[in-house]
Amino acid sequence: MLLTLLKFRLYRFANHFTHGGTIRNRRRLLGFIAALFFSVWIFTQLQRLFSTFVLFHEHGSSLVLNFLIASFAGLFVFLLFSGIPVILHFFCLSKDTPLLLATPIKAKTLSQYKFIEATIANSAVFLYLGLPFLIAVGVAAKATAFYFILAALAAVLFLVIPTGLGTAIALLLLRLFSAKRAKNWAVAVMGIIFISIWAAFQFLRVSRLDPTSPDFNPVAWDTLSDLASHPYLSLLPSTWLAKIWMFLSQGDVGQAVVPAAGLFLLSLLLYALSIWVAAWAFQNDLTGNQAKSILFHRGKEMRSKVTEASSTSTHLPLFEMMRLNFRLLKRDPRQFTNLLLFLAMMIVLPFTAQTDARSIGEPWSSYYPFLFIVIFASLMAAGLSARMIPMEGYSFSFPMTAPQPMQKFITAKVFATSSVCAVLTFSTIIIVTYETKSSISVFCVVLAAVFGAILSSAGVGSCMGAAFAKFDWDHPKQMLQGSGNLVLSLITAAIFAIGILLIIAGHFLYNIAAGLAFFALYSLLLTFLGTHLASKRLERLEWSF
Amino acid sequence: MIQTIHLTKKYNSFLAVDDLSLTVNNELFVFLGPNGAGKTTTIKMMTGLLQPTHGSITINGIDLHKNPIQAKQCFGLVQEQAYVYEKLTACEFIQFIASLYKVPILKANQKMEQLFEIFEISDWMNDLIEDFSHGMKQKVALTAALIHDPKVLFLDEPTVGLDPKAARNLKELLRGLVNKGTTVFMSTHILEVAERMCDRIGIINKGKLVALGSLDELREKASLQSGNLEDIFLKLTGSSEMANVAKYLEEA
Repeated sequence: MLLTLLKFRLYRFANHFTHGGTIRNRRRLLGFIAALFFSVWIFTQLQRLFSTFVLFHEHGSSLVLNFLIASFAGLFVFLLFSGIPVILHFFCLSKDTPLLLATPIKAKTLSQYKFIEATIANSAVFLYLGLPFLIAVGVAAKATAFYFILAALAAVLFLVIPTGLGTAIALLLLRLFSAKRAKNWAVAVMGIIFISIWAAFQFLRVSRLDPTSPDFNPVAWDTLSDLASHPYLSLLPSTWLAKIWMFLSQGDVGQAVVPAAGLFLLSLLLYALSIWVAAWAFQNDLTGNQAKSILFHRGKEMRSKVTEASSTSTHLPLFEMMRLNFRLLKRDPRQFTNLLLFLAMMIVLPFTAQTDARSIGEPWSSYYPFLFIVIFASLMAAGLSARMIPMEGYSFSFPMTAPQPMQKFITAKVFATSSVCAVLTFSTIIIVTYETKSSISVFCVVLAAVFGAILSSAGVGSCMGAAFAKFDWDHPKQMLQGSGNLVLSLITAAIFAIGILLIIAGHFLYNIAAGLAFFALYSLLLTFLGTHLASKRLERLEWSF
Repeated sequence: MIQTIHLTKKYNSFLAVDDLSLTVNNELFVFLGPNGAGKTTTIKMMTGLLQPTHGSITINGIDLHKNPIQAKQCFGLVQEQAYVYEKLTACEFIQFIASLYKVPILKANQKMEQLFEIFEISDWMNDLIEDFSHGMKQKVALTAALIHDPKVLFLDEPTVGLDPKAARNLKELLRGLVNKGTTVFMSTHILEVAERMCDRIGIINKGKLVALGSLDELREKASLQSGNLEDIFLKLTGSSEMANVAKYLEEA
């Protein structure tokens, strides 16, 4: 039965390509090519690093091992946390689960099927992150084909472990929350973990470990050298995998046996345990309990403390619309995570850019670290503003039938987006100004430019959101249909470039204040145009849901 | 009052609603028809969710196309699927809707509490709607539609998902609202509801209004001396499918 289930799952996967339509297939191909380029880029970086280690250090291979240990530890933690929402999806929220539960399939078989499905889905990231490592280690050590086969097998065992641990955590979460809410929060936690790992790896990035690079950092080098002595790291399965690969690449099979046995036993144990626990959960309807949280509130005093007000006072519709948008944002952990990701990039990237700033002359070198803040603030505002419209989902029929102009709804969304982005960006500007010891005048110019960029991007974003909104989205990535995300990024980049050119032109023609004044006018114009076009588009929308 | 004149909706060559002219005033009007007959499309056009290909709609004498904001102030809508903001609590949602219709806060809160009591969801008013069952969401949507005392109420299959008690309360409420001057335009598949509650019935089939009138008038039109609404409905919308059912059972 398990084979039958897997066979039809394979058919479903294949149908994505054979019946997906030309545009979708092209998009998939484009995504695949992008992922391939990313993998090749990682591979070249790694190869350069590994050969540098071997060239510049007498214990080069131990440095390679330490680098593998650090990278795999990050990957393991990421796979563990990304596994939780994946497991919650496949075990509880996937549309085929109720269907399969109603058929005479053993709970154990269903658990095995779901576990395999979740492991494959969660391991996709390993294909384009782990594979370059596997090849780079093999190439650096001039390993035989034997290494590549065994290393790939070890990787499969390794990938079972985060899914196994994730299943235990996911089922524990189901005791406390409904599957949907647990998944939302798991996604948020995964985002934070991803951001933390990414920020940590900015410290251990390739150029910092390369003695020939101007960015070379001796502290990072020493940290990497001492990594193997860390007691906790040796307990992680990722460390075992790193050791297996390293020993196998050197042809030392004997040394690889102990970590391989550990990896095999742990993966087998976790697989068996997960299947058993998941089968129990299926039999006890734990996975299907959607309304769990509401049952928890039974018997609790839930009567409202409704607002005291005079008999004639009313809420301002614009204010209430903004409040609605803030609530939608605040209560959707996926949006929250997306904003955190931008925030982390805005904080980290200016520091990595400080080296490049030295080569630029004054006054622009003072502004250079803030360039990333302006870019990411614009992208964040445009993206968020565009998503704000489809974020309403099917509930958008309420604004459509409400006795309020559509322009007001869009303006509320642009204001809400701008406020959130402005607050986040302001905090990063403060941090970067403090750390780079920038002057007050630079701070003020940057602040004005950033706020202008946020407002104009939010305006343009709302226009794109209205044009490409997909109200029946399942995943936040699908909120904009077709090439919406690509068009949005290109247009944001274009308006950003024009804005920066206006500031520079104003500066050369008169002074920086004139440049900023040009930019402010340009921003206001774009905001007005964006909201106006968005409302016109939505007023003509045919609501077919 | 609702008035449609030559209302037509075309999707390419498919005629979803064909030249519908209708006046509904201070009554409980039930709109019947088989699946895909054009009931929901008609309601969506009447509420501004879809643009008609031809024809006009006036709500309480206000042209929906020319003065959409004023027209929308007059009506409330409950759709077949209660798509309410899942990330809001029931209380927050109703307060938001009340603000859009500029209902004074105190009045909105009083009405909300009354309606929540009627629909028995007061205990969950501070819970997120995403945790609600389909029926509970439907009750929240009904409360939202009634919060501003609309002169016209559009209901698309409002009893779907409601428990028997809530369905009964809704029927009583609608009857009471009609007695107080509200116009109710309701589509339903439950013929028993239509038979017991409505003042007039409109039957739509393949986009065309095939019958209009009181139950007695429809019985006369269907040339039936007696018989319930189901018999009338089947007679007017075609009953060839029944022969297919009999044939299938014979062969089974």
